[in-house]
Amino acid sequence: MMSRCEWCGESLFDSGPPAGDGTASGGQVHAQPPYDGYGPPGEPPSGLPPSEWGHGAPPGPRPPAGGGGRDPWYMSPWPYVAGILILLAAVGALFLFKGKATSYPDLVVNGRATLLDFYTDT
Amino acid sequence: MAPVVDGLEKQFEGKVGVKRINANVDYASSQKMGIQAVPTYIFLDSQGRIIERQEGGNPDALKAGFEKAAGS
Repeated sequence: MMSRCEWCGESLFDSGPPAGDGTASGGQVHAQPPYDGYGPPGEPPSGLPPSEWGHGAPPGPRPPAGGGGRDPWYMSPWPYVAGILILLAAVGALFLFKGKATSYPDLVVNGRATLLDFYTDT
Repeated sequence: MAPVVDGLEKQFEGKVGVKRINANVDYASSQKMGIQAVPTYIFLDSQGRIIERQEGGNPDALKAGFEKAAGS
């Protein structure tokens, strides 16, 4: 009784006794290579395409790639505008408070503009 | 630079006052104003805000500072 391949259904023939030199030979083989790609030809047992063999892909349709056509956040100008505005506000606040902090009314002479002349005896 | 300051003080009398501070004696004022070297000249307006700060003796710069303080 002729054997048939479980995958492709082709008939198998006996290639002869083992070579005895440790190489894999003998047994029942196809008359020709059963495929020229990465999967055997014919209908796979599970009904999945060759790209899904062994991966265990979940059933159902695949989700669309790229988030459904929406651009990522860095492609929009608004985050950059907001960042620049925040930076300008911080710099402006720094100058505002710096101007208010440096004031020495106790060193003013007679309520008018004053020159402070720092010197030493040496 | 003392004669230069005296001359400018007389020239701008009534508009700009002059306060001489010995950095070795009045150490508190020196530290408060951040004095690193002498002579140092600091111009203040009538509210005590710093208008200009000069380190070292430059008569022309000192005169320009007096004029700026007088106009403030």
